[in-house]
Amino acid sequence: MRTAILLAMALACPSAIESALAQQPPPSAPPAGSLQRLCSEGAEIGFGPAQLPNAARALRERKRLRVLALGSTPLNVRDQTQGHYALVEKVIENSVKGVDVDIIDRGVSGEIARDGAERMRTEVALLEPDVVFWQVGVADALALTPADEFKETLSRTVRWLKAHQVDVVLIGLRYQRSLAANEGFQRIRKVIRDVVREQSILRIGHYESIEALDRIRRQQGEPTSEMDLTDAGSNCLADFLSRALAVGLFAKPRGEKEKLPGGPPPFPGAPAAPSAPDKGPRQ
Amino acid sequence: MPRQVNAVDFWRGYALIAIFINHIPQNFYERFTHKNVSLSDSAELFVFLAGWSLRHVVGRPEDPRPTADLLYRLFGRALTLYVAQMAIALLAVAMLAAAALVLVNPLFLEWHNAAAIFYDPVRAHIGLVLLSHQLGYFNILPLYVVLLLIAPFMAIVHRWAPELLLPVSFSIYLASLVFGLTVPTWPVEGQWFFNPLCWQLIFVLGFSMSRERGPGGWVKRNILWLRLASAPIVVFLGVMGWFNLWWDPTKVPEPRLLFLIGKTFVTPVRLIQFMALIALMSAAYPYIVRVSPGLVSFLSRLGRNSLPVFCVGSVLSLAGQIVRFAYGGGLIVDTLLVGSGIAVLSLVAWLAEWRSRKDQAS
Repeated sequence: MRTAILLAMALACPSAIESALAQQPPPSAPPAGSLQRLCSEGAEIGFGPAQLPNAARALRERKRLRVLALGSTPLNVRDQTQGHYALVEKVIENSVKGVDVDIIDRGVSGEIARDGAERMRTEVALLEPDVVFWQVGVADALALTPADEFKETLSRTVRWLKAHQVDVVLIGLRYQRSLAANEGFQRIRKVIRDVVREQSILRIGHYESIEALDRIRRQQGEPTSEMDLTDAGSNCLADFLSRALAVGLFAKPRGEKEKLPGGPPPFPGAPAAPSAPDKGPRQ
Repeated sequence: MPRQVNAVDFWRGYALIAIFINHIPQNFYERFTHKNVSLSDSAELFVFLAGWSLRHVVGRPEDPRPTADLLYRLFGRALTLYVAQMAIALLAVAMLAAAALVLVNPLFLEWHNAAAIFYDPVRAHIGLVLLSHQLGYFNILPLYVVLLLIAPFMAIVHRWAPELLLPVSFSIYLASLVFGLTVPTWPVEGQWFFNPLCWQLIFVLGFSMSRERGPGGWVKRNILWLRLASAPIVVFLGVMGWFNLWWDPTKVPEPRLLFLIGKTFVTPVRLIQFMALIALMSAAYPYIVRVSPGLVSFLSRLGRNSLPVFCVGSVLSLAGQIVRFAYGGGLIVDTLLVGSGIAVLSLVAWLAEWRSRKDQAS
């Protein structure tokens, strides 16, 4: 709902966002550690001074946003009649009348970044998207791609996208308890964070959210199974994406880092987090 | 008795080994397959040679196989491939599930497009059976099934109006590129990784080139000149690829697919490079026979038994990916994986021929 309010307000009058958010009384928040709360606030999103400038321009000038989704296709476990991307489309379109959001999924599950980057250029040329959602890292972590090769591929591709006036949102790794201490997995995760910081782009940090959920549930004596954590990650992803779009399109950066409930900041050196979600009411 | 060694079986055996190695991404030996210096890879080679092999079914022009027999054999072959695809897809799903349980890592449940199978099983199983849902690296056989389903029509067109076959095939290819026609996937939104509307041209080219008359005859008569023209194409595009000197894909004119480089639509640049590569490869075979008859014999046996070898290779490459993740990569692990994999593929080919000999003897 907060996303909807943000989007509607922003399109109607972008300058009204801050005051509107400040005036709204915060409703009673769901308990810490609940999936609902983590979905609404858990995304650790790094961004630079211009978050999604090309996407914002597309919305302003054409009232139309074309998104190219690459990487593994996330599946919405909660609602099996539609995928995440259909949900994100619906959230934004329902929020803002007259805006057409078209998310085209060209993901190839299991494709490592090297191959995905090559294919991305063709897809960008064919579809001319305003923004790319790139779910990247999982296949490389499983294929043991060397971190330096992965970083080179990721950086080069992000630079190429920026040079072609295409915004990019990276959807990073998903939290797995069994991989929390896996060096290769964590190296890939760190590379994604580094590239996000260096290139000032958006990242969906559902790893940190689900990690927080796991930690809180364990502190509460109700440990969550690995499979349930996977479900939680899937269920939250549509919320994260919708929120990232809203924040990246409309909110003004404040240079603060969003804190996760019940735990430390996502990780040392994380990029600045958006200001808007902290001010707004919780869902 | 198995067929004598020949160039087609040899190169098909090579393609099978290369596909097996390439389907274990990031393994040490991946850098030695020809895809590293070539726009096209083993997939084109496999499909082209499948088309070439169709000549054995169709028969010689002076002694054509009866049409009813031809249709029966081609549809029967398509059914065999379909059943093989179902079997290896099911094995792959079970392997991913087992890996997720044993390694306590649910990421395996989402790997290679398997997420829908585990999280949306009702629709995904329908998709699997309809071939509209394909696992990553298990998407060549569905293409092959479709190609064999159209093969009877190909054969009939070739029988009654051979001069029409290539133009019709090329028109479908061109229409697909100009209008972006493709085959959608379901339940996961997307498109077939190998667009059959485009890849059919490689299959038809393979068949056409195998014939003594028409385009195949012309190519055979002019092969020397064609090879001379092919060498600079292969070298030039190899250098372009090696140094990443490709043109900006967003700057090419419409219809863009005519000028882009892509595997899904096997775009013209890739197709031209592949045909040039084929011309050169055909020249290399006699020298390879002379230098390494043992290698030729080994790869030809794999090529003669391509379906079981391909199926086992697909499953083994997935196993290799899982083992690599569990035990880490590196030269030793990769050597063991690739070496043992090739040994198993060889055993599968030998067993297939041994069984065939036993059946004939009895």
